Amino acid sequence: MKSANRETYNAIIKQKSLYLICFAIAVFLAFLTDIAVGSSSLSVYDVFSTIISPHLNNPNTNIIVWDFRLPKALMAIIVGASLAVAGAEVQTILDNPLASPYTLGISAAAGFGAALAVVFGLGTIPFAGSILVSINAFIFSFISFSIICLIAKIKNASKEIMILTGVSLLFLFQALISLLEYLATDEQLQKIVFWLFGSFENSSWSTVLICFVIFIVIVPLLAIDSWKLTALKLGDEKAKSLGINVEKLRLKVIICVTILTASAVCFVGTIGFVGLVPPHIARILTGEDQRYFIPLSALLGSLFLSLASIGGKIVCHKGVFPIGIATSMIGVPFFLSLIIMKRSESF
Amino acid sequence: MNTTVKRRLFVGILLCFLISLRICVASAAIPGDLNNDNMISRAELSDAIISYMKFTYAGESVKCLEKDMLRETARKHFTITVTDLAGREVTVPTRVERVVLGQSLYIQEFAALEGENFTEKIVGWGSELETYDMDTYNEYLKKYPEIENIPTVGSLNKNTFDTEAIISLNPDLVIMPLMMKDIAQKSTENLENAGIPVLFVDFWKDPLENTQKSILVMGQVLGREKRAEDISRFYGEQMDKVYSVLNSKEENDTKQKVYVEYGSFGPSQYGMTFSTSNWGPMITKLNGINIAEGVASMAPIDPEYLLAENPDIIIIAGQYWPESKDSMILGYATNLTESRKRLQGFCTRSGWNTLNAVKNNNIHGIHQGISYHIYNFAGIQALAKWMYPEKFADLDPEANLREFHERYLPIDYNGVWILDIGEAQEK
Amino acid sequence: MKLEINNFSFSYNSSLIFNEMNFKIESKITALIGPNAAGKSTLLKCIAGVLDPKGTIIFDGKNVKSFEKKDLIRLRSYLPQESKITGSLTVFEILLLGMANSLFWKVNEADLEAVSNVLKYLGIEDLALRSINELSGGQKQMVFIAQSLIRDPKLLLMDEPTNGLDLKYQLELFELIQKITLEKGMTTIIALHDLNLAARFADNIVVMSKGEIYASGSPSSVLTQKTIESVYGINARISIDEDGVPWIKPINSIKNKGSVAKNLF
Repeated sequence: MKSANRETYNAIIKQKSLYLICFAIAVFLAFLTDIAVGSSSLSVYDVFSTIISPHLNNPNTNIIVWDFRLPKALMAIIVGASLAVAGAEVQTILDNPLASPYTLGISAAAGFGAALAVVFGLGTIPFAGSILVSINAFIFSFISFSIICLIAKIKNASKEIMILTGVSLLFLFQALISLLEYLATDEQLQKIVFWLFGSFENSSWSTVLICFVIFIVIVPLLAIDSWKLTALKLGDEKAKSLGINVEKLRLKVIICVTILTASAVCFVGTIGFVGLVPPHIARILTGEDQRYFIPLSALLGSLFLSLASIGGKIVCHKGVFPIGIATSMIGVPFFLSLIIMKRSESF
Repeated sequence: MNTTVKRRLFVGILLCFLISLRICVASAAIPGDLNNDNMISRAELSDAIISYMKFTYAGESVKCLEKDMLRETARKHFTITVTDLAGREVTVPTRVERVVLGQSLYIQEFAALEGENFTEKIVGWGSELETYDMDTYNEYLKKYPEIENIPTVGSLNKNTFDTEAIISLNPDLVIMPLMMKDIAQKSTENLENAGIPVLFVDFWKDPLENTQKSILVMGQVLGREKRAEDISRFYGEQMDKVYSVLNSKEENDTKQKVYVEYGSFGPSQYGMTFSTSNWGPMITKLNGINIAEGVASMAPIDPEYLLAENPDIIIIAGQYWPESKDSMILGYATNLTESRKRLQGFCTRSGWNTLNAVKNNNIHGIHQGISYHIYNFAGIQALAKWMYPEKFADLDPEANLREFHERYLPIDYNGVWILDIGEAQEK
Repeated sequence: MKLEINNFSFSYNSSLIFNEMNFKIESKITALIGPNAAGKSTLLKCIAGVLDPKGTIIFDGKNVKSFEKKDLIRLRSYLPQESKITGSLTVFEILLLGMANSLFWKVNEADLEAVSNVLKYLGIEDLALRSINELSGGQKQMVFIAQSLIRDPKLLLMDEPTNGLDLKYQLELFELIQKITLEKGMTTIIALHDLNLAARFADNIVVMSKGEIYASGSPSSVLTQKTIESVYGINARISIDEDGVPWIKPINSIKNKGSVAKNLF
């Protein structure tokens, strides 16, 4: 016999669970579309029969589907989810709707690391060009995160300090990137610019594996603390009185966010708005309960990036459309409409 | 010091400044140019000569120009007017002695016309040679160490073109690339206002149409008409070797699909393609299909699209990029083994082992510079040979490029410029 | 339950707030009064575990540091002065968050029952699915009290709970606090500005001034003219009403040499 409390509780979570299911289906459909669409004129039948029975089809189709479309579509899903969860958690711990891995300067730091590798380090190891870029991007994400943490520790980890530090780092790294662009040769400049636009061209099964492993390790670490993270909404003092170590929680979340962002960005470059728009929408739909907020952010992030990828492929038939541009072009109108439509309390 | 004194001091300084400006501006003008129209008329020349004669031989104390200046005046009077590749009328002294190459890549064309002592006439050039064509620079440096001291005036590409520096070098002529005409508009105006003629030539924007015209007009202004005609004739003969055969071919030949990529990034990242520039028009002229046509200018191709199109011929355009150890290296500073190795590296790209071009060893390298220099005939010849091997079995583009070097360039042909992949490589 | 504080010191940004403070609290409702910057909020935060002071805090004879973390959390509950909720949460969720430190991913029956019981106890079941930001000030305060009660604490710490509430809610709140304290056998410490409310509802009053305990005891013994004069710097008339509760009527502020502003702040 269901008690009255269980009914009340279910009333609250029912809609949230429904959203999760709906969007999970949407993500799956987007994924299928992403695989089916591409610049070569393969029929949908060809694509799926190659997936089901790869050896029966001609090797060209095999390679196109298995080496190009599948890894890229999977990267869109995983990277979208990673960036969205990272954005969701940054917004949670900093209590700021504009906070995202981008506004904390983590993405810009990664971009600088990549540019540095291109201008100075690239080519020192033959055939390892893009790996060096990725490694550097990863390292610099951590440098920026360390700076934020160091300053936070000195000044007592208040949210405002962290945000201000992050924004300063954003501007610093952007300026440094501009400096590198100025010093770079034309070829290096092209490479940097392409990296900054973001693309799935570096996707392979190894990058998919790495990002996936990182995602399924880090996100549960965050999810375990779901209730504590939700409790942050009550204010730092109240949360502390509930026994939550707020500083430690913030630090842990920032580490997780940095790892998630760095892993995504180091392979696909800087892609904006994925850490900003999906979490906002998720919050409107599910409220603050992190048990639903995190997964829905992930799903919306995957959906967002998959749709952007599909859109890019449709717009640019033979060439490669920079994905960062696609996400900005979709993200900005979305964001503006959110701002116009939303209730004030959700901010 | 009270206010009145201060004010007067300020006005005085301001006046001095303005006067000196006037003097500077005036001194940039041509000596003897009495009416300041940047030209020396017959009357002005006569005046200058007579004053000089009076002073020197008649002992009259009249104001006159010094001998060097008088020489300048004479030079600026005896001029010729040509039409450049931008359709502009350009007036230059018949004895051009001081040239600024708006783009230092023109060293090849300039050296071809001027010959062994070509460095004497160059008073300044753009910074592109060292940036984009280091191997050419080094090759010339070996024989002409003085080019190190040629002042650089910035680069149009990077928006660092320094018009002031050019004016201070007092050139008779500035040669600029037609491709940069819009970017260089302000600079061109400034130069012309300072009395310095600007000549636009084109080896890049429309090489098939403009190469011969450009070398001829350059010959005219440099006083090397005969040499220019020679080169132009040679070029025409080389191009004819292709066109004559091509025009006589049958219509039902299957069109070859060609993919050209700028190999600056090496195998790990797809480089830019050429849809409407450089190699693109050449492929079209030879009745080939450029699979990158329609890709945004200078953007890389979608690898999936490349695999789907399965081109018959793949060409990696190379140059000298020392920092990138697996890029397609070609030019003076490489050898056959190294370049071949680099080219083979590209074949390891995901999915390339399924491509027809790879399976048939129809992969080639070509120096990017060939597409924008006087010797672009080697480019057309190489493409023709690869696209129609039976028709052009006797054609040897590399030998023709070598001959061009021997006949017209003061440096030797060296290195690798046109490359076949060679025998089948290991998978 | 018994609360004891020994050798209590706390500094904030290198300015000393308390120095070697000692006191005991045993009674049911204790009101903590004093002028601004006396250290009332800080003291509450230290006892609540929000701040980390030097010295010993002893609950029921046992040192705070020897408690297991989860027991300690159950033991005490803190209601800060300002409860600003960012984001939209339902009342039900807010109550669940009262157990945030011990909740698992899946909410089990025991947790749900705890929420339901508190809602019933305070008579606010109809608010369960409402969003907290829609409620009035008084209703919000009820919800936060409910949140504080959900773990069945023995010690309830409240920082100026009646701020911004109208008269009706103020009285209702205090009656509720009395009821809770009595029925659940808790010790409640409330920081207050309103001396008369303190006099009326508290069993024990602790007067703080400049980081020190000035006086402590029953309302009638503590709320004297002399106390009010030296702590607040005002002249007041104290009368006793028919229930024996002191009633403070402020008359005028005492003008010392430049000390008016000092007493205000």
